[in-house]
Amino acid sequence: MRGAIRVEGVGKSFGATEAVRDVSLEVAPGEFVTLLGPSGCGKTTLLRLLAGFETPDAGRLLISGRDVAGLPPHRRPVNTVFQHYALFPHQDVAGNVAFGLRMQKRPAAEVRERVARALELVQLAGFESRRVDELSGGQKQRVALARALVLEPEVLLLDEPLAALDAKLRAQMQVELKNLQERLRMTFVFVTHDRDEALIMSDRVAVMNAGRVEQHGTPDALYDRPRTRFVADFLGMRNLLRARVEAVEAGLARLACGELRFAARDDGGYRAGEEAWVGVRPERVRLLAADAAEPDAHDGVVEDEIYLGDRTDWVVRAAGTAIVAAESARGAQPRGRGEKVRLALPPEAVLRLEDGA
Amino acid sequence: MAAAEAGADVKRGLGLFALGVYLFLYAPIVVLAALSFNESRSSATWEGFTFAWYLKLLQNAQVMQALRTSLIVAFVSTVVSTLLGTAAALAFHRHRFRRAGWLEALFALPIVVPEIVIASSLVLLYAALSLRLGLVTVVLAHVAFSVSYVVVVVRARLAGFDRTLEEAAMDLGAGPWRTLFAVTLPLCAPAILAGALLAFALSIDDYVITSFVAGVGSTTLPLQIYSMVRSGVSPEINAVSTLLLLATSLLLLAAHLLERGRPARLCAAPAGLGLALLAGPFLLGGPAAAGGERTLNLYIWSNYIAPETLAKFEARHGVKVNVDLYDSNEALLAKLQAGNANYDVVCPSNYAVAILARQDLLLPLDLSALPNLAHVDPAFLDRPHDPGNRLSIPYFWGTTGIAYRKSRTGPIDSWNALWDPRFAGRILMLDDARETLGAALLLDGRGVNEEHPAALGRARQRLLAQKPLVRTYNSADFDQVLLAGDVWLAQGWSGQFAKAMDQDPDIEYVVPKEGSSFFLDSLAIPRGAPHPQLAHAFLDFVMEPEIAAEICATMRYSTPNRSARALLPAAIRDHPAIFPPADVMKRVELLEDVGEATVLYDRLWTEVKSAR
Repeated sequence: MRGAIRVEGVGKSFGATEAVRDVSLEVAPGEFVTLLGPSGCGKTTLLRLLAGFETPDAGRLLISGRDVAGLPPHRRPVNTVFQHYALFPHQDVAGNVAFGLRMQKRPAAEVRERVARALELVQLAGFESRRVDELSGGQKQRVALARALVLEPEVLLLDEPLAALDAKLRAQMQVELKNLQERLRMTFVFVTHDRDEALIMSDRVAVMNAGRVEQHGTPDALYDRPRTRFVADFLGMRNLLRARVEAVEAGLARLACGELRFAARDDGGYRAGEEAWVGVRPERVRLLAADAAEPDAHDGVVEDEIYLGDRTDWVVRAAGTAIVAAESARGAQPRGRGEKVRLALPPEAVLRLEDGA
Repeated sequence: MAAAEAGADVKRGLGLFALGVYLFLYAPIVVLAALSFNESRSSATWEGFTFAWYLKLLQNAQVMQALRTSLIVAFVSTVVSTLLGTAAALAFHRHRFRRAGWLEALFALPIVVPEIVIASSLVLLYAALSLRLGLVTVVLAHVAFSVSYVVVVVRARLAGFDRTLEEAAMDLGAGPWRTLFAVTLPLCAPAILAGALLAFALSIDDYVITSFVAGVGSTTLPLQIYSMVRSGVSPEINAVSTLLLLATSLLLLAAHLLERGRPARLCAAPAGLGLALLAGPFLLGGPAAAGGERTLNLYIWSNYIAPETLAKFEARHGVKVNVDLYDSNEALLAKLQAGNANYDVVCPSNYAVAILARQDLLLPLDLSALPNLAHVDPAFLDRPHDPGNRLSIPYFWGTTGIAYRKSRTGPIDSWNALWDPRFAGRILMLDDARETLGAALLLDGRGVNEEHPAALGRARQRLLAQKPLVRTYNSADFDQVLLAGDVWLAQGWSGQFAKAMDQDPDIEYVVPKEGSSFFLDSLAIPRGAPHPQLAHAFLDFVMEPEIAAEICATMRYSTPNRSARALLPAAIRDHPAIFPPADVMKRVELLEDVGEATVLYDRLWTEVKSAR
């Protein structure tokens, strides 16, 4: 049970703003869970509710099986790594890392030893007597991490801890952080608005929007099977189409988006005569030569080329609708603007999306 | 090339300008510090280096006592106002609550309210609460005005304070109190220190509010200095100021080093030295007033009685005399009118006696307890301000006249000399409505207590005609200006001029032939005095011929005590400024309260001073 989190129907409002609405979430011990969403989605508020900086208006919060909703921050078995580090400027590195141990009135020898071990863990051995304003951003981040980890919390909360780092350092820290978590087997709750970061590091991701958890699952599941239009959009599904369901037959739904007609594998959610949102990942759109004989393909014209290094995105207008198709760098063919092509939407690539909030 | 040179010129020009600004800021302080080592008493001449004033300072019990009082008030009010102000600033910084804006503005308001308004309202409040004026009321008043500054200063510095630091502390297991002491306060320390230093500085030099709310045993250094103006500010004050400046500079330096994160060892030296300097008065000057003893509370002008004279009274009656000082009759009136001052003996001038009598603020004297009144010259008894001496006894007197530098002017015997174009730019007049209009009235053949508007109007015309010749109007240190040689003729009071004549034989004093005025300062007992019997004993004590002679010899003011005069050394007994000959006494008139004409005097004098 140690390190498990259970959030049950938690709500929190600030004045007229509902920051967190009826959120329920379960985190298993030792899991790396990311709260992902745009700013203002409630992810930081949820983290602060876990840390104890805010008290919920409704619902229950259980950490390691214990209801913590009424406990102040200093009585909770969690520690936090803050977005802007929040290191104490009036203390040196060792003083910062030792702060929590001193609050627990640990003997000096133990404090020294545990501080040294924590600094070693974040690869800052020997930095004990540095002033915090002499450290680089990455070093500050490591000190903040050591300061929280040294207390061996049941749950570590991380509030966009990498947001202030430059891209290269950030990529490096993502790997380090993930490795550290796997080594310590500690429950991490990580808040970020960066999709890639979430997908790279997490065991599971909770995508939040307007105070609610829209979808909670493994990175693979989220990527491959986004449940709502918002999740699909936030995870980079470029082709989001509003289509009319013309017929449902033989495991396929016949859809029409303007003049563009295509089929989707029926997941049981399509109703003939109604409208539905569907999404197609660009890399699953097939681009064919203009003279390719493929019965279900559509004639289209290349409108734009977006070169991304490892791949190229083509914007193709087919039957009045703009569709983005991606080709990996190796498979890409030279095409020019205005060139005629054909494109196909495989039925298994077309995903039905709920409208969400 | 030319542009670069022009740029260098501008740079040099700006540098010179900056230098000028710094000079402007610090020149007065440098002069003050330098003069504290000047052997000459006068600020006009440098006569060599000396530490004498510092030694004299240590021996000056009154100044040392005032310094102690100031430091006690400053320390206590700084601690209290810093605690309150910091708490308030933290509350405003942290919490958004209803009407926070208004409540915060209310804290800032006292900064812009004129001090005099705060002062008079505090006096009314204390009277309403029947709080006795004294050390406590002074400390309360200082807390009241400095807490606003602390709030503003601390609040401004807190604006950049990162609240997540407090959250981090709580997150790491610190409860609210430990967060406050382990994170919030250490991080706010520079702000709090800045607030505390400001509060200390404000308290140390406050005059206006303190002069209103001070009572028994609470004469602070500024009150002491102001009260010395009448008899001359001595260079000991320069020494005190220099020491205070040095102490606070050292403390500031320590604070600065600490803020820069220098090791505590390095900061300890200046901090310790500064604190030692501030603690000095408590160690060197002997113990402060001992409690429990019976005390006589005396409220008097500075340099009006010597400590050794008071010591004789203390020894004889086994009591302690507590001396507090004031600098104008108006200050005394305000204090007694407030009705909670606790003084046993006060020293009003004759016209102030009349005002106090009208308001029934003086205790009728028991003349049977004052046998030594028989030694007082009848010429000073039974005057219109106090018929039959029911309320007061004469203490000191003096004349108004002209002191002049005889090598420059030749002999002078008339007020006309002050209107003589030959001395244009070398004339000093008192800054005093009654005295200046009085001199003009005498030239017109009228008296100094004239109340007729037409006569007063003519006197104003005379003063307007004289104005181009006058170098300055000065009632504070006219004797020093004359000694410095800035003016050749000065209107003024005999007491200071007597001392000036002792210093410079070129100076002569005359009561002009047209006549002049004289003042008479009395001792009286306010109603509600806690020790009326002891007060009577003190009044009788100062009228003993030996004691009166000692007071006159040490203070150089004229004594009204006939028997005492015979006991004085010839140099004082025959001093023409201290004891003018009988024919001179015939032509001087006591300045009386002119009742409703006072307003007219003040208006005419203001017209003269504001004319171009």
